Amino acid sequence: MNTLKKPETATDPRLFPAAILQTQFTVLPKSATMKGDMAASEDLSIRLDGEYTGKIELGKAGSVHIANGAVVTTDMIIADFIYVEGTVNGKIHARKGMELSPTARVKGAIQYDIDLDMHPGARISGQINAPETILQNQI
Amino acid sequence: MSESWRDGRSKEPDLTANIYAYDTSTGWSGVCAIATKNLLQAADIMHGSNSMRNAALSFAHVELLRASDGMATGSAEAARRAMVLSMYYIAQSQSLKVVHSRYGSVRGHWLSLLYQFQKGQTMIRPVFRSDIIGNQPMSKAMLKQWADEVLQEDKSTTDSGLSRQLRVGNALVLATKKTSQLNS
Repeated sequence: MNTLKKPETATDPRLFPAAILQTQFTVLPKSATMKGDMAASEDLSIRLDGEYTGKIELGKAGSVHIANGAVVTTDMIIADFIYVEGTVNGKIHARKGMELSPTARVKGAIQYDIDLDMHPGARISGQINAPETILQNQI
Repeated sequence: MSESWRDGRSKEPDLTANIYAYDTSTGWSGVCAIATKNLLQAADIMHGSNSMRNAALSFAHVELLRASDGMATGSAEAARRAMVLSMYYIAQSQSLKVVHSRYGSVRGHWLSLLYQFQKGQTMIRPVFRSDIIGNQPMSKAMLKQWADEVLQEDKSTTDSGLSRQLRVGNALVLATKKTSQLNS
């Protein structure tokens, strides 16, 4: 099911681009369950409301919105922007911005390459991988 | 600065940020435990100054490499410098700000994981873990296990800096390989 209606969020995102919330596709509605991996090579903005198990790899740009009430179990979710309002067990990697809302519950690891924002109330049990820095041939 | 160098125990367990450095190319590691207020003071010093942040980043690479290549022990000046620079490296990070604003404390475990590549570059992956494993500094074995886990994650993540280097043929120097190269 795809929908363009404005999603209901408890708190407005501060980092996740507002325009994406207006245009994202709901690929997993509330109360639905899905298992399997997902990948896309084009810019895609997806929203999960149900229970998802698998990997999501958005290779070129793209965003993932794990909505309030969604439960995701994953080896890896990777996209430019990731907005978590639900529950994640596993590793999530945002190439640009990662935002955890007050209802976010993450057990595993988060990785961000540019920006990270956690609202009061968000919980992480695990680790935070910050951006790497590289120094060229200083030996 | 309240600190303990490789002594394995923190004198202020309730107010402690544990700072670690680990070089995957030599197996060298360093650890210090500091009061969280000192880590926050270091962050304040660098706040708003890109030049200081850049200096902290660059010098952290250089000093970690120097300590690792010399396998500096805990009391050696090179190890002390490396850990001070690691502290500043962590202090300038966005993770520290986020953790502080979210949890009101920067207690926990902060790792600067050093990668060395065959073409001479060094890369630092900063990682934070909260107090779920306790306040005390990790043992060397625990630290090695943590470093190995992060290394494997970075290798298996297609968009990590490590993976990008590997894709262009810039191999990672690993402790066992380096030892064997030295021995050959």
